[in-house]
Amino acid sequence: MISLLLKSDALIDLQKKAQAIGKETDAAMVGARGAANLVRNHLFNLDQSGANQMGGVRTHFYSSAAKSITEPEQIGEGNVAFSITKVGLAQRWLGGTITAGKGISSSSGGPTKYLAIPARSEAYGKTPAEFDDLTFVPTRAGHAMLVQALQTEMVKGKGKDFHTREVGGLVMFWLTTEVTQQPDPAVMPTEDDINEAARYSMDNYLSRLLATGGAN
Amino acid sequence: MAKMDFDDTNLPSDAAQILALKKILPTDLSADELRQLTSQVRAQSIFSARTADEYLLQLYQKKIGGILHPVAGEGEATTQFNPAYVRQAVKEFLADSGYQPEPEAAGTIKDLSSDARINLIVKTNTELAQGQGMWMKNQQAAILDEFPGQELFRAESREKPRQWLERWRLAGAQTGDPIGTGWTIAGDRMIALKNHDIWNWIGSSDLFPDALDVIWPPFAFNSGMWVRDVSRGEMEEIGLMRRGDDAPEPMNIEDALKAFADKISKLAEAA
Repeated sequence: MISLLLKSDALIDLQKKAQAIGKETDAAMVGARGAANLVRNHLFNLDQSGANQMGGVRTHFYSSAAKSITEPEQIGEGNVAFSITKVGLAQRWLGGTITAGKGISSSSGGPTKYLAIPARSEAYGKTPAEFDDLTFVPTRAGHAMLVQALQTEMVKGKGKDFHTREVGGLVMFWLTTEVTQQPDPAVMPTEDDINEAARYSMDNYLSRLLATGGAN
Repeated sequence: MAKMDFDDTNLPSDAAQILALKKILPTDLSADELRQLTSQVRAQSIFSARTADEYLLQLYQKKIGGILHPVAGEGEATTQFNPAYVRQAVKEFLADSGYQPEPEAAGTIKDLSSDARINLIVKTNTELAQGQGMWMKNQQAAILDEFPGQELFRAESREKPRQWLERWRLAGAQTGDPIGTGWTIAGDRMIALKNHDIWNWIGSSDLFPDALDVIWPPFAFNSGMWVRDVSRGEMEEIGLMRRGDDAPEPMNIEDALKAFADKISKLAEAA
């Protein structure tokens, strides 16, 4: 979960203006909404910029991250915060090492020994347990893979014709004990841009209130 | 001003709270029959067409709640909050309970264990809670003042996209307000004042059979559409507001859903 805390005391001038008309919380909420909107639009744009690398069925990861942004909440006097609750976004943004052993294996019921990395588009967005034809194959480097078992498949031809073909043998998941991902700063707008979006919305709101006589 | 943190702060999630407060509604009703329930009942319930298993609905509620507010215990993995693992958990539940789809329904949307069905239920309920949470947070005077407008836009691509511009025109016509008055099409952008009547119609199943009968996104099953704020400055630029115009009035959810249900009833009577 990514939490974004907007501390309005850093915008002293705007905060003083807001306090003078008793609108410090409203102004902070408006500023946070402006910042949240910037982050939402950034994530929606990322979603529209392309399909997943393996070309499988799209999960619309970034769109669902944008939708997962919680609306700003007041956290103490004049401070507001919002979160992005989409699991996996922080990992893509900040990078880091993930190790097996925290989850529960659906096959053994014990702690997981491996992380499963999709190897083909058919495996993207799925869990190994959703396949009923995978075989565990260890490799020399201490890793392993889940391979689709060989099987005979019926294929419909023209008219009422059917024929059979042998399928399987494809690596569906690579198994590894840990994965290290590099950070990707492009996943989020820059801190400066977020600051500016908050300031801009807050300033607009307060300027209008002050021009029309302040609090109502 | 802004400090970006990556932490485990447990900020409340409106969407998760909305979902947690919903009542389980096991039912044998079909999707068409479910539409006969009032929008208030549907907004306050967890249900799925022809799903009478209370425990299955409880599992959905719990798992979708985890997606909306993913807080793992000490040392626990967060994969449990990934929609793929939620789907896996539902499949395991159904397998353990001995569920078998009718042979002709296997793999289709009528099969409770199919990817298509589970994905639809998880995505629709997740997004309905998020959409409702966003709608409720919109109803603050300061937010409505600075962001009085809302744009309906395509957030996710679809292989067969619906004709939303056409729907927007139909929904707009239903309000009785001419285009440019409260709602408009600017280029190909669909924009309206928040709380304008058009939002009562764009998600109405009386106009569009696949609609979800809600006043917040996703509006229709499997829709890739969502909404985003439009600032007062932009609303003035496109001519939906003039300088100094009052912001839309905040609404409470009970009144909004009642107004929605009343309009739908009137349309049904007139039909």
